[in-house]
Amino acid sequence: MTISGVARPSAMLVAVAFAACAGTGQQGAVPSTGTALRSPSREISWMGKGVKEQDLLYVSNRDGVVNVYRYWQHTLVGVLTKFKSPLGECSDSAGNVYIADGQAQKIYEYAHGGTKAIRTLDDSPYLPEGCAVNPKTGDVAVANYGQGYYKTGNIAIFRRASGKPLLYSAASYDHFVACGYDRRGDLLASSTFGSDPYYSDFYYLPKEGVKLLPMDLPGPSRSWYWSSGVSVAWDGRYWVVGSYDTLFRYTINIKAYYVSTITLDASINEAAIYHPVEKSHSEQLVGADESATKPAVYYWNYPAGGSHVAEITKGLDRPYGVAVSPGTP
Amino acid sequence: MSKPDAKRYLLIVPILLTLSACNGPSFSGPPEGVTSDRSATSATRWAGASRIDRRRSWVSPDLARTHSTFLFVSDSGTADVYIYELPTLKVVATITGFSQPQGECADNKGDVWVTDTDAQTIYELSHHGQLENALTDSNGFPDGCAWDATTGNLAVMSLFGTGSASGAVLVYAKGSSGFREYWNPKQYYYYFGGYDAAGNLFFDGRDQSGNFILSEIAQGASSARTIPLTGGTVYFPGMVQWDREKKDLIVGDQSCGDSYVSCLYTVKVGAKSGTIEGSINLKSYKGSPICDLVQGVQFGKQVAGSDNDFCGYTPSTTYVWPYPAGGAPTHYNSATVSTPVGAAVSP
Repeated sequence: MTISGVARPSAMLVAVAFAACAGTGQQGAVPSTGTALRSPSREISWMGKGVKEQDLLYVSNRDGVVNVYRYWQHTLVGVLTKFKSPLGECSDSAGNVYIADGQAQKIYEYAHGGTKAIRTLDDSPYLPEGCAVNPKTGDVAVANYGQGYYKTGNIAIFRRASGKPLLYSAASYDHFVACGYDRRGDLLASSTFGSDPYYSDFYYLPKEGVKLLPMDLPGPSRSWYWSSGVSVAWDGRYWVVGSYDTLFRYTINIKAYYVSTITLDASINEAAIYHPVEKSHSEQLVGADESATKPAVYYWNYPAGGSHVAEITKGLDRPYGVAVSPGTP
Repeated sequence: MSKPDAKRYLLIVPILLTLSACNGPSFSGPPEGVTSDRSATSATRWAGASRIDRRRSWVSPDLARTHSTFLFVSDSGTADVYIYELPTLKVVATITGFSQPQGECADNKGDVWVTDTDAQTIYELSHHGQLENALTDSNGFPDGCAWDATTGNLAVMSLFGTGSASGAVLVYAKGSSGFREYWNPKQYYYYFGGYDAAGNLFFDGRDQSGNFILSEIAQGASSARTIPLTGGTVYFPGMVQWDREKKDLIVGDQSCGDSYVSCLYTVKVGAKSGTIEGSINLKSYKGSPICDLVQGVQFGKQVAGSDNDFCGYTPSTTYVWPYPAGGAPTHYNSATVSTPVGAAVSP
């Protein structure tokens, strides 16, 4: 894996640039991508029938659309539209999906297979980039990039996914990009700072924590440093932190301990881990490669990694966030 | 309060290391105030004890299955906290990742707070050893704590401050990361403490000359006062705990009789002073006196804690003794701790 020298700006930086070019300032306006005529199917939200029982995969795109796929069949079954810059996504155990809309400074909650947001969390004046749902409490944590590149980000926690958030701040230079909860309700968050090269900080908010604790995540070698830690997930046993085409697994209690490395055959932003209900299905990892030349969503066996076992390549526009929403059996 | 000069501050670090049970090769003698005629016998042992445990935490499956009462013991030599099942003293978890864990206290949830002196942090561990919360002591070096059942507040004894300042008591309001500081102007070093049922905080320490001081912050008071002791002399601060049944204070002396022996005193606290009414002698499993019980914890009719045996009588060992009888232990585990310091019981 080559990381040094590959300075990838935050999705928010790109989103800011995109929004500035697009010039759309109103929620509900059809976002412009600067591309030629789009399919009508990407102008209005729609959802196919019979998806309630299906496990669904939500993928946010740069063009302001969130694609919804049947998880196993990889077929497009719906789209959610009129976002300004949909970025990170997360889901709860009931299948509700939360979509962080950076430029809108809002997080939208959709019921599994729904086409209209059932709840909107006001995150202004911050730019939300990632989110996670506390499985114990239903709280929604939001990784806020900040009010722009020169303004500090924070972690916002909406108690029971409503109201005004509690804000947890860290160092003045930190822009939060991702966060995740474990089964106990401990939170791990990643931030980025600097500019070419980018660096990452990590913070931990234990279950009963009242402040973010700086958490050093050691790499696989002494010389390791984080040029960018983007994704944070909990796999049921370990913390999984992704950086480009590599995932690192950790345990955390007082300090973080490196467990293992998983190498992928593509770089991804956000990672979602699929925990199958049926034992006949294996655990999988899903992530989106936002490259402009070959945007794709990849599936890997987890924790094996390696070569992907499935991919989605059609109908994507520099995809960023992914979330798996379990269907109702 | 007078501030120590820089030269004085330089002497504090060795004292801190001594309190934390003599980190390895840097050890140069027993606790300040006692003679060093036995220190050479333990030099090899301390060298081994200085190894910091770099491994991940280990938790036995038994810990999650059982509803036992647990004893948490901090070990500044390995930088671990060991969780023992009571009264058997079977180790059911080793919690790693600390820098210099020292004094401990428990709250009504069964969570145990562990002061990490070097990290200037106070960690809250669940009954099962999981990190629940962490508080920062940005002004000093925490080494003891007490939890107030009347308010849910946490009091932290900060051994001494940064920048040559004296220690202090920091009171963190329930659910808050901020603290309010309290001082006894006569006290310089702050060690261990305990609340009584009315929310009065008692804590011990030493003045700048090294003399023992027992202090109190009465419930609602804005500063601490000295409690003069009669009926005996305490030489080096140890545990402080309120005995709810007998309504007296248990005060430990790491240098009982100004020697290499630890003992406990029961102190009746009056309006203006305290009276030492009894002493409790503790024995090792070999029948020798306990060398250095830094912090013990009383629970019911027992008291538990670990002997940091730099005297060389036995390996450092964790014990349960009858209380208030003392004497020979009812249970012990001599295979775990290296340089133990703090103790707390999680019911």
